Amino acid sequence: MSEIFQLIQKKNLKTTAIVGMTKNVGKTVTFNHIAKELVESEIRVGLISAGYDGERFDRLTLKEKPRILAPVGVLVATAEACFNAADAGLEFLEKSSFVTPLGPVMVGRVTEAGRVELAGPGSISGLRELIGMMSRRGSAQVLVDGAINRIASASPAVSDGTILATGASLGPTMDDVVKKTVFRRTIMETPPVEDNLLLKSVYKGLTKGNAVLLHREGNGYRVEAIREMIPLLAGTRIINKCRRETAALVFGGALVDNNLQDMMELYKHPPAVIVRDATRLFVSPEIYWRYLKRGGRIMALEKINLIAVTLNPTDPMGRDYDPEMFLKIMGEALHPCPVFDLVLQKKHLS
Amino acid sequence: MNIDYSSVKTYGDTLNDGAMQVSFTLPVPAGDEAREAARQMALKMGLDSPSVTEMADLGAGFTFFVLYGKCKHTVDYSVIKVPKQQQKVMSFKEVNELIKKELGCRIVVVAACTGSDAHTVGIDAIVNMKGYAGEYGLERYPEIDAYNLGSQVPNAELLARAVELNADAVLVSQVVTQKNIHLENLTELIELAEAEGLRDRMLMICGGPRISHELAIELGYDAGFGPGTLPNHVASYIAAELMRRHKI
Repeated sequence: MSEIFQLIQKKNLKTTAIVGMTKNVGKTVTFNHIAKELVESEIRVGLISAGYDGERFDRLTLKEKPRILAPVGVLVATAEACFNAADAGLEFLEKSSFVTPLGPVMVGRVTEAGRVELAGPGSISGLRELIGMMSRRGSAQVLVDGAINRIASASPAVSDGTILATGASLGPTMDDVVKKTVFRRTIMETPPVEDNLLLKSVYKGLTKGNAVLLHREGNGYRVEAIREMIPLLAGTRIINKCRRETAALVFGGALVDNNLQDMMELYKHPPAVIVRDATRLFVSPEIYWRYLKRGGRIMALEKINLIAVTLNPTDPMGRDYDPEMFLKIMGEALHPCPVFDLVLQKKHLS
Repeated sequence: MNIDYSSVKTYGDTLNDGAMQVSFTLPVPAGDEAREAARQMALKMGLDSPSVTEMADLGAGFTFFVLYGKCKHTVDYSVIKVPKQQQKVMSFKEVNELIKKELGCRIVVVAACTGSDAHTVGIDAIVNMKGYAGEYGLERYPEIDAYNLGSQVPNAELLARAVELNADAVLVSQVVTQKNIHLENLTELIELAEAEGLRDRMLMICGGPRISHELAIELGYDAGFGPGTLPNHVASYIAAELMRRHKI
C-alpha cells in the first residue's frame, strides 16, 4: 500500500477531504488512488464529491477528465439524475435533504463495478448530513472530493484530515505555483490558541456575540462582545471599539483584508486575531505577511489537519514541468509536510 | 431511414456522408500557404478531402477560414446517458399565483455582478422591469421584490446587503473566462457565505454565458442558469425551491 494511504490509516482518519488549489491539479486522481487502496484493503468506504466530479469532460475546457471508478460494495453519494445515468450498478439506500439541479443527493451501494459521476452536496451542512448517512450505513471511512479551489470541505466541521492537491495549472511560473501553495499551506496550518485563559474568554465572548474584543485586565481578559446580523457586519464595527489594552479580536465569521488593514492603521503593533478555523480566512498574501511582520498574530480555534500535498506537474492548458524536479522543489518548499506525486508513485524524501 | 445509432456520422446530403463545416483562425498571413495550412489542420482533425471555401485576412498576420470536409469519426449514440435537470417552467402569471397562494409572502431577490465583472447584460435581462425576449423581468413580478445592485459589487458587500434586505435568493452573474478568475470569484462568494453561516439561509444562484447546472453544482451553488435563460425560468426555480424548503 502507498505511503499516502498509510498516513490516513496511521492517523485513523474517519473523513478525509481532498481539496485543490484550482482546477486540474489532480484532485480526482488523488481521490481515485486512495479510494482504490481503501477498497483493496477491504475497508468499507464512502465516496462523496463536494462539487461535481468525475464528469466526463471539464466543464470549461472540454478536455477529458478522469471519471470516478466505483468498485462493488462502495457507498456513493450523488444527485438523482447521475444515479440513474451511472454505468455502475447502484442499489438505492437513502435520500438526503440536499437538492441540486440534478435532483436530491442520494446514497447508494455499488452492486456492479463501473463509472459514476458524483454530484454534490456542495454545502457544509449537506456534507455533514451525507457523511453521517454513510457512517450509519456502514462506511468505516469517507472520502470527500473537493471542487475547483473550494476548501469548505477541509473545515473541521466536515473532515478530520485534509489532502491538498496542487499543480502546474495554478500559475504561469513554477515560482508562482510554489508561492501560492506555500501560502495556502500557511493559512491551512493557522496555529491554534494555546493560552487557556485566552481560549476560555474567546468561547465566553462567542456565546454573547459574533465578534469579540478581549481587553487586558489584571491577569486576565475583559470580554466585550458585539452582536450583528452577520459576523461580517460586526467585524466592521469592531474597529471603533479597539483600545490600547485590547489584546485580541475574535471574528465569528470571515476575516477579510479590510479587517487587517483597519487594524494596521490603528496600531503600530496590532493585536492578535482569532477565527473559528482556517476556512474563515479570506486574506491576500501581501496583507497577511504584513500583519505578521508588524507583530500581529493570527490564530484559529480549531485546526485543519493537513496530512499531505499531492502534485500534478501537468497543466492541460499548457506548460508541463519535469515531474522529478517539480517534486523536489515543491517538497523542499513545503517541508516538513509530506509531498507526493501519485502518478510518478514517489514521495519527496526530506 | 435506417440509422445505426451505435455508429452515428455527421450528415450533409446523404446518410453517413460525414459532411461537416468548420471554421477557425490561424496565426499566419493570408495566402496560398495559409490555405494549405488550414487544409492540413482539417486533415489532422479527421476530415477527409477538406476544401477551404472561405479565407479572410484578419490583419496583423491572422487569417480566418471556413472549410468543408467529410468527417471519418463516428459516435456511439446508443450508450450515451446524460444526467438531466428536472425543473418545471412556469409562466409569469403562474409564478406570481403560486407565491401568493402557497407561500403567502413576497420573495426577496438580490442580484449583482460581482468582483471585477462589469457585464450587466445578463443580470439586467433577468431582473430589469422590461425583461428580455418578451418575458418580463423579476422587477415586474408583483410577488417578487427584486434588487439589482449593479456591477463590480464586492462579495462581502453583496452578502451584507442580502442579509439587510432579508433575501430569499441571491443571483450572481459572471462571465466565466478561461483564466479562472471569475470562477474563483464565484467560489469565494460561496465560501464567504459558509464562513458567515449564511449558506443555508438563502438560495445561491449563479448565471452567465458559460454557466450550466453542472458547473453550478461544482461551484457549490443551488442552481446555475446559462445562455437562453429567461426571467420566468429563474423565477420558476426560486418559487418552486422555496416551496420545497418550506415543505408546503
